[in-house]
Amino acid sequence: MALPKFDYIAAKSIDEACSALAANPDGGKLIAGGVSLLRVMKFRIMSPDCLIDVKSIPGLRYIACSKDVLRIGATATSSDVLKSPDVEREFPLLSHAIARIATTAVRNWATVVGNICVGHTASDPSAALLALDAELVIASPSGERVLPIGEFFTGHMSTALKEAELVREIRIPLRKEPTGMSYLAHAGRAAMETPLIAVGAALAGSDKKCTGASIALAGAAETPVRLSRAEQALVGGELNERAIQNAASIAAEECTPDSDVYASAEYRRRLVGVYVRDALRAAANRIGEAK
Amino acid sequence: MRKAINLEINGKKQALEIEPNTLLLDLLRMDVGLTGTKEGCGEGVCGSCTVMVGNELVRSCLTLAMQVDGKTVTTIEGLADGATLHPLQRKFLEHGAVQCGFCSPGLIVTAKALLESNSDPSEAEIRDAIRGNFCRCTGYVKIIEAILAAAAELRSAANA
Repeated sequence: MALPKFDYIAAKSIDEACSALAANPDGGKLIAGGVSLLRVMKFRIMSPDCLIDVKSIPGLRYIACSKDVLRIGATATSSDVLKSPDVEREFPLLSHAIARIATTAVRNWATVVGNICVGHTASDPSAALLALDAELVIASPSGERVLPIGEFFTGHMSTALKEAELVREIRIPLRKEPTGMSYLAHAGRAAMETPLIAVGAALAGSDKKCTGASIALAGAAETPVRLSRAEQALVGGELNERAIQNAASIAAEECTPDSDVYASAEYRRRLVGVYVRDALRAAANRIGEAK
Repeated sequence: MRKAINLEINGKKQALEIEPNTLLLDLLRMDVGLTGTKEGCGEGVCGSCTVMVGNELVRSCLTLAMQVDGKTVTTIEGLADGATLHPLQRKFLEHGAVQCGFCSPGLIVTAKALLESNSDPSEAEIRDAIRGNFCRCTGYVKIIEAILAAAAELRSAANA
């Protein structure tokens, strides 16, 4: 399958990439690994006039951990994040989500920032980052803004990025309290499959009292979503089997899945109940193992 | 408009002029004539087009050639030493891991990358490494046997 024709600019700085986007308001598109973008271009779903490379910008391929925050640069690949001991230690939920992506040959070239910028409803890293309260640092010719990732997804394959904007960095705040995490996904086959639904869960506190709960879903709405009612049902109470079952029932009611060729909305809703329950059980069990 | 690109393919430097919409797969097959790398699905799923850029596996069907400017590429043609097959290639033949052969180049390159990072993989590790390489003939058993045998041979050669 051949690609449609386009011009190519190897940007050397964020400013140059943003200026090139501003100069091509109708047909300019950023490319990092391009694993998603080139695929949709092959199917002629998108035909940008000009691809602006961000992988050619030096200094953006990093994962940096300080005492408050872990930062992932725009061109860090999925493999980079998967290999990071800081990510594995602080956010096993993100490591597990990224390990699910395709296979090594794809993860070596694809970037995590690129994955979330596609805005796919069933993106594994998007749900994981949403559960972890990540923020995005967005650069543009007029400066930078910081956006909570919950405000970034505006629909399937659509994001809050405006003209000439570029996601420069993902920031994930480090957890102050011991937090147990889990990421579970249901796919039709074991490998190379987008999940029907996926759940990222993080629970803080102890079995006596839950002090924080995040539950994020992929594939169960127009965008990756947090389940605030199920979360609120857990916070302040004991973390026992009854509380977990109750939160899972609320999650199944609260989610708003769609039907498509892969599964009906009703099937997805049932999956959400089961997978939220299992993810919460696993997360609760891991609180004790956390730092 | 054609653009200049310099890269090293299987140890040989190449200076080419290509259209910006050229995929690495098509550069290899059509511009350089290395047709060992195959296009299966064309959307990154089947693994037939897998090659190495630097030390890392990539899907050449979803890799923009312009992004490989200045890098080194290894394809299936870069494994044999003249007429002497790479142990992985030989073991694939000996174990009947090649039937129609279409998936073999991608599988062998993937196995090579695995053995470079892990000289003694378990069967489970091999299965995980090749999860993105589809074979519709063999049922994978013979492929896994071939990779285990090649790993053992490479280890004993390294210890000799």
